[in-house]
Amino acid sequence: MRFTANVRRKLHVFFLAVFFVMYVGYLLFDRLDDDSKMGLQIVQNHAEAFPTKSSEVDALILGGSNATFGFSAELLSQLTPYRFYNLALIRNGFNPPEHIRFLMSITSKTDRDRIKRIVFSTVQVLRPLPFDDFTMRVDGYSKSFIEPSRSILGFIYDRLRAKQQFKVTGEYGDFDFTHFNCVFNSSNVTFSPPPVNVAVDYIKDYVDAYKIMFVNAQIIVVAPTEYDLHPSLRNSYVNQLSSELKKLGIQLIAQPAVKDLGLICDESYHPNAKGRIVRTRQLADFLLPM
Amino acid sequence: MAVLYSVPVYFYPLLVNIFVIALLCLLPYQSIIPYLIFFSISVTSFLGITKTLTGLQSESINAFLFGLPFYSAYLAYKLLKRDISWRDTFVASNPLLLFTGPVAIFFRPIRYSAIHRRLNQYFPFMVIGVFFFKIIASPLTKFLPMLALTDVGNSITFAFIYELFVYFNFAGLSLIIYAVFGILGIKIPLNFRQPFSSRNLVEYWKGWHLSLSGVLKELFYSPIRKKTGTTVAVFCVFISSALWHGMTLNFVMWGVFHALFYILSIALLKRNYKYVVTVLMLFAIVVGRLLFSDSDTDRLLLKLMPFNGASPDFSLFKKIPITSYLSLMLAVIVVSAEFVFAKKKYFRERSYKFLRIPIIQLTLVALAVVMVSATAGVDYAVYGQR
Repeated sequence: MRFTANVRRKLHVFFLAVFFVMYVGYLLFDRLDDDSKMGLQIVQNHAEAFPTKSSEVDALILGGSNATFGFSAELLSQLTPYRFYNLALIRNGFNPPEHIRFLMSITSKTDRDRIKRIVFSTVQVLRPLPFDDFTMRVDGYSKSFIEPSRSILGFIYDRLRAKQQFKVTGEYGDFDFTHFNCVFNSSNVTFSPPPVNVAVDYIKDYVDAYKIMFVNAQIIVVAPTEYDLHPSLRNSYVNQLSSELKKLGIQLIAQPAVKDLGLICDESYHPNAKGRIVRTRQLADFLLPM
Repeated sequence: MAVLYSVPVYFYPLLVNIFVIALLCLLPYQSIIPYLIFFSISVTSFLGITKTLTGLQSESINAFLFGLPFYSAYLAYKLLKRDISWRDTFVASNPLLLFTGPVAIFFRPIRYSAIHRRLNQYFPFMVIGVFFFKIIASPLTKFLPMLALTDVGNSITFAFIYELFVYFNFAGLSLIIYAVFGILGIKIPLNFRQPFSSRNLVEYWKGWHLSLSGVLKELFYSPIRKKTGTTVAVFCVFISSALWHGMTLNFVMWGVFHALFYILSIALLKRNYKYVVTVLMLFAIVVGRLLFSDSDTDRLLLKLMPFNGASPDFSLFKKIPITSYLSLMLAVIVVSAEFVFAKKKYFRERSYKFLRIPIIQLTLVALAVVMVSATAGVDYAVYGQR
């Protein structure tokens, strides 16, 4: 009886040790596995391409994936007097400190002084809280040393699915749709934004940071286009947000909701290649008289 | 209301001074002071300095106020018992207890001192606590945006999920702290005792947030019961508990609702309606949590009208990652096991013995290893961090 208890106890400790070693092994693998990091490729593409083009660039597109998918810096450069570069990041770089740190690392003081116009497009202010994920780095790695960016189960699940490539082109930083499969995964959008004052504070923090970094730039905030069959709630919220921002001297361009799924990629706020042209032209129409 | 009366941070020292002066003025009436201290969290909630426990992540702006509910409840309890010393100030302001609870109504050294014995006894609680908090509760935060949905189906589903989330978050953290202190050689209250192993609402409250129940019993239930009887005492306990959670209408509704069902359960138990009280308990837990979860009164009232015209919206479910569904499934399995096997060998002690069996412990560790991820959900203390 005592012998069995001892064996059981040793087996218990043995398996605990096995799980521990397995976990540490996976943590190391997770640090080395670039494929799993959402947005890493975009960050790398920007880091390689932007410095070579920065001397030409005098306008930036910033924000989250809505801007990555939704704006073409190339088309915008043709339609306006500015040379745009799309520096938007997946999930806006996960949180403000990571986003700002990335911009600081990729641009020099001379680059920043050259920038005359910034378009900041964020869907976060139209979404429920919390906005930011402070556990992540801009490149999609977990900040925590004891937790992986993705679970072992998540890793296996992703490996079984078709791989999507988030990639941008070097010249303008525009999203490359050729390796991305646009399958829409939502049929109905629930519009549940945060309180207006929370959204205003969120935008103001970003605008204040941009004003310090890009001293010569005019900053324009964009509420992005979204697929929404019942846009009345959205419209009244955006109008309210716009008037509150106006009081602070911040200009908000509200891009209209769309009802045509033919313009949408995988998310309600991710236009496809065709939708990107429509959205970019709309933005250019707004920007030209300014 | 909280937003309306929100007070700028620079007024905090002034408010603290006013509070201290008020306490000094009341020294001749010492018996009132514990109650004033207990309700200080209600005052800060009313003034907007601390947040209420809503359905979404709720964090106070001032990190120094994290844990004020636990701090005030502890001091109130000790003052009432006239058992307070300088040591209690350090116990009450222990960051671990402030961040997660429980209210340390006792804090005493463990008799046996060998570290391996303490490890053997308390490490399994640590495993359960981490599993509850990190593997089950954190991924469930992905369901919290459901708070905005007002149709009857989604409202009830959210209430059920939110009950699970609060249980696994708070019980998980309480078990971790219980284990940490146990390994260090200090005994603190086991804050949860398998609440879902209950067959009626009275039993349920004997397993949920026990440290606060202990405080409420001493402060309100025992003295009021002596003077006015059980019914009034139960109402006072639940209303006080409601105000401790936050100064909003939904908590008052929750307190009254639970008090009514608690009294009804006692009456039915006396008449031996065993199955009816079990059904009542399940109803009270879910509907009670529906009231508890939403401090937006207009939206809550809409949810309480079953035919409010809101159309069911299932789009949110498509966006929730599969790991959150797995966590939900594990939550349902644990809670169902607590309920179904309540009278069996490893369950009847109501001390998570069934999860401390070596093979189950290994299973929990294995599940944790394959499911843990920094991005699975938000880690925060639902009770402490407000």
